[in-house]
Amino acid sequence: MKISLNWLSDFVDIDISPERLAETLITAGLEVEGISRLGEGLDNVVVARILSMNPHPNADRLTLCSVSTGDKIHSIVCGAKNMKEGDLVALALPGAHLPNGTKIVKSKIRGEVSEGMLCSEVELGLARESSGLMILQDTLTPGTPFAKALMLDDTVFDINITPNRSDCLSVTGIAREVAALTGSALKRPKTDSAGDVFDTLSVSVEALDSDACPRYTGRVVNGIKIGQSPLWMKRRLEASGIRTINNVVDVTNYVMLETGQPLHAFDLNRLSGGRIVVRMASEEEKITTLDGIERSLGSETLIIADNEKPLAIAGLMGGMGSEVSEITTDILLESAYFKPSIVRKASKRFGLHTESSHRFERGVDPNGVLHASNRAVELILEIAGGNASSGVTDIYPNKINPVNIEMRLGRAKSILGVDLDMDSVVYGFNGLGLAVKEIDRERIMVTPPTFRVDLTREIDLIEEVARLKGYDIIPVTYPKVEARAGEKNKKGILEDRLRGAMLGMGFFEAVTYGFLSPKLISPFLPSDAEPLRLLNPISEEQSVMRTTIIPSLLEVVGRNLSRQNEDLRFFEIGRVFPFCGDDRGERMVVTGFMTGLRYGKRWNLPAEELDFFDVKGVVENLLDGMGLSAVFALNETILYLHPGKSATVEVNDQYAGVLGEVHPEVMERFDIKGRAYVFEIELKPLMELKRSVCFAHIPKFPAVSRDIAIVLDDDVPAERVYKAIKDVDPLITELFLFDLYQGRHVPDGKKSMAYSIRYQANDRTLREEEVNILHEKVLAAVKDVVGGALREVLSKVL
Amino acid sequence: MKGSLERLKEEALVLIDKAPDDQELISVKARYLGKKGEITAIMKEMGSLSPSERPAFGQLVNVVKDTLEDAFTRRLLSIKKSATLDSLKKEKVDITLPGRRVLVGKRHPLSIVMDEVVGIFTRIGFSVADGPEIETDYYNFEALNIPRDHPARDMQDTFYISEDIVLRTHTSPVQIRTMERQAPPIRIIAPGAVYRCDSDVTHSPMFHQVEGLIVDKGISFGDLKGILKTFVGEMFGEDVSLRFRPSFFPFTEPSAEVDIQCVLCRGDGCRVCSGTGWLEIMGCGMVDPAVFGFVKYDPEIYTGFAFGMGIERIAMLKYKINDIRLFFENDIRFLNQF
Repeated sequence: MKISLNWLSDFVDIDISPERLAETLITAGLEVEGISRLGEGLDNVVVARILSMNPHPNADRLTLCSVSTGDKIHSIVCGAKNMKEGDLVALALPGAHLPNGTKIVKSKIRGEVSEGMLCSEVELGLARESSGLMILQDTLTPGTPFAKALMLDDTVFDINITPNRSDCLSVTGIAREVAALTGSALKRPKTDSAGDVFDTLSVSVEALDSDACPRYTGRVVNGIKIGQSPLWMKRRLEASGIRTINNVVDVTNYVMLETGQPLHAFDLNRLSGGRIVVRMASEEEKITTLDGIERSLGSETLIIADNEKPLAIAGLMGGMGSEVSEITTDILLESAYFKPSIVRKASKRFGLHTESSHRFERGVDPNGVLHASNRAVELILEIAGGNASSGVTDIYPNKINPVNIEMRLGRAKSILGVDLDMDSVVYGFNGLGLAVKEIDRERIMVTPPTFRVDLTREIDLIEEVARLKGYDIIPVTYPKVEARAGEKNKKGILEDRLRGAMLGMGFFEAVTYGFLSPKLISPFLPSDAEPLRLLNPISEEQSVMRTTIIPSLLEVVGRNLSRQNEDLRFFEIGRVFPFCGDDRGERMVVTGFMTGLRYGKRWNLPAEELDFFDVKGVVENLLDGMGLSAVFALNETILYLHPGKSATVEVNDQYAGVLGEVHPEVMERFDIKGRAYVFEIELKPLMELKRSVCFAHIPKFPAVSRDIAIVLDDDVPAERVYKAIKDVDPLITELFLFDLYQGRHVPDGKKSMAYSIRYQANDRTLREEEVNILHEKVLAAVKDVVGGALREVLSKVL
Repeated sequence: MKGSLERLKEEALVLIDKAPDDQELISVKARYLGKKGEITAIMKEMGSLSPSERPAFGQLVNVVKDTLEDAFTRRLLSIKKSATLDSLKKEKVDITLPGRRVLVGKRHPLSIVMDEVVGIFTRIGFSVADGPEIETDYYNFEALNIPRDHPARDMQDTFYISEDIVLRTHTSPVQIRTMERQAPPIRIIAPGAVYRCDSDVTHSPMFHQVEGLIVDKGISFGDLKGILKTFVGEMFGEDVSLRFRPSFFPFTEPSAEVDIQCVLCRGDGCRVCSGTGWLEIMGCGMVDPAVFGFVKYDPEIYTGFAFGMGIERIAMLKYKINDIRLFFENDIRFLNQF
């Protein structure tokens, strides 16, 4: 909210600098976000009267002006054309440094002395464009500083008012805080509705719903003359960020800013049936609001209506047709208290947020309604003339009384952790207008005024104590709690291990949004599944919740490739969300993505393309690092993966994720060239396993290593060969494939696989004959189980 | 005889020193100390000396022999050493060539900062808690004392999945979930992603927060100041001052915003702190009794405090990053800097 310092000074004496005042407000919870000086750059600019105008002897376009500042005559060379003798203008004297950056010095222009410059609105920083000089109102006195004459000598505070402090949404409210914080007295301009008085109200006012509208007042002013508001009022409204319209509307806004009570003026002569009713709208009723939009009201909307039609949405916005216009002569002035939630609902329903609804939904003072009405009538009579009705219709069936709240000093002390004495607490409360009655030395009964809607409980008062004293007086202490080591949760510990492993394998950590474009997620969804959709996304690109991180990483990779970053490896540990009807809930996954060269382009490393076994190796490493062994099963049904290079991963018989090469069509959709490999593993199956390490003795007896190469059908999976050999005897302690070959010397449709086998016993040194027998068994098993034939046998003893 | 022995010794020492390789050295050794060597020959002539001269001369011969043997050994070692050196020199590489590096990834800056924050709090006894990102209206708002139709809802622009289901706008729902699950004492920290409909240079529709909560007997606002002072000291440096100023959050009362002295200008006022010398880094306050009401804790017995901070904000300050969107673009050239 913008607050004018001049305006504020009408209500409280301020003898500190704006900066100090801002500090004071900040420490009391009124966050001053900015201070701006309106008249900045207008020093040395004064009001001057043009006495005479003569053509410049050496330049056709220039005029020599003689201007008076009251006690002095100045010669000015001027290029503008829109002025005439006798006009009042703004004169920038030498030394001025104008808002648009111009520095004024005494100079000679084409041989003629110019002792300053006559200014346009642009040069004065008052408008973005202007044609010619700014011609001033004739009532001003030459010689007066321009800023003062135009009431621009003001400072404006931009204050962020938190939603609980509706009482501070007004000049009076801020003044009250300033008075309490600085010890100055609050000044209140006297309010009495002067002017001619007549007795009867020419309209009947009814408020039918005392729950939605606890108080409604109406008042008539006749014979007004609509026109411009006086400069002082315009300036204050402008400083507060309110557009000026006409004197009556401006007054309603002015009083709202001053008191916090929104007001509305209806053109009395445009009301039908001489009647105002406050009621809930009916289902089919419509209104065209002042912003020109026709709105269906619905039965939950509180409206102000006449005999026939809705006139305004209560507390939110008036309607076209009954608004005050140039031809208005009589008005009905509304000042009311609407239930905050009713106004908020309307505001949400119509997507409208107004100065009025902002205040009503936070709560105005039900007992300040009439004061605001009186103040407005007083100002209307002053600036728009007319006669006010003395009779005010005030429908207020159930008066809202202030509440009594008990506060215990001990409680305040223990919550705040600071020593307090009762007298200073009471003194502070009184300063804010809170009535206090001492119950005993420990307890007080506090009665906040009804404008303090935020004070309803003991804790609210305790906060008030802290706010008034300033949080700085609370000493720094430490909680007396049981000594206990903090720890990450299981998920956090697992994440750390996975992260470490992924970094070690050359992957960069990515962080991406939880939502993305439906177009990008669709290839990754089971057919006929719909992702969860946001009702109010910022854009279509961020409108559905991801069910996998893979498209997010594809997007990241695409972006990097388009910026010429190559050979990319990314991983993300993050959340994925269920699709509609999916009961799995949110899951944590680790997702990896790799593309490009295995080692990058390096002088001492082979420039090899990645393949399926790179990504498989990453997953194996990842799981092995956690003591888990994975089972990989070919899965041709993962639609976004290459049908011949994709697998599901199981850990301890539980589904854990997928890996493989990204399907070329998906790559195309993301506009990525080349091949890419991904995996996505869920964290939950990894977390559920409790692994306790129990060390096994290191064998004392030497092992015997034998290599074996077999030729077998191409389509026999390596897993089967491995198992066939491994199952031969427990004395086979280690078995690994060291060569896989197809080509010369191997028939078509066959492959040669070379394994290294290590035989070892825990209790003895194996004898040569024993090993020979075992190895024969291996050969037999290879032949029987997988149909392999011996290619060559090599052996060596370690 | 004595004279010729001395002469032979000098002569041999010179030759030993001069021998360029072990071959030559061995032949020099044979020439003097071998069976037919010149020193061996002199020893054979010892018989011509008188018995009284013999012991002294014998001793002298032994000394000369030892000296020469010693010289041989040393020379041999030195020849071997320089031979090794020569062959090693031939294997010389250009050590300015780049090393054969295993690819190593980099941690995301948000993950680094998150871990730093969580690390500080776990060291002082907080444990990590967790909750869902898709939340119910109840946990995200109602139970945090933010009723429907309350203007406080405007403080956070909310993404809705349905009328009652939202993307959590803060990590505070974890407070409620934790308090529902367990009785006091509570000392938790809840890191995680949160969502708000807001997107510009300093606002991202998804960002990260860390929430903290202590509930126990006798917890005061002073304790809150103490814990956060410790945190700021660890995170930004012991000499960075902080201030608490009154604010409003529906789920805490009294509430405060915490400002730290600007880490860039050290309080003098700069562009980053808008000339104020202070940077707002988190919100905090004493748990509102209404919140305890929702989780059925007795506010007369227990008090507590909660605080929450934005990780992006801290990371932007720490690394002087001026556009929040950089975190989510994941450009390698950005990630590589951390």
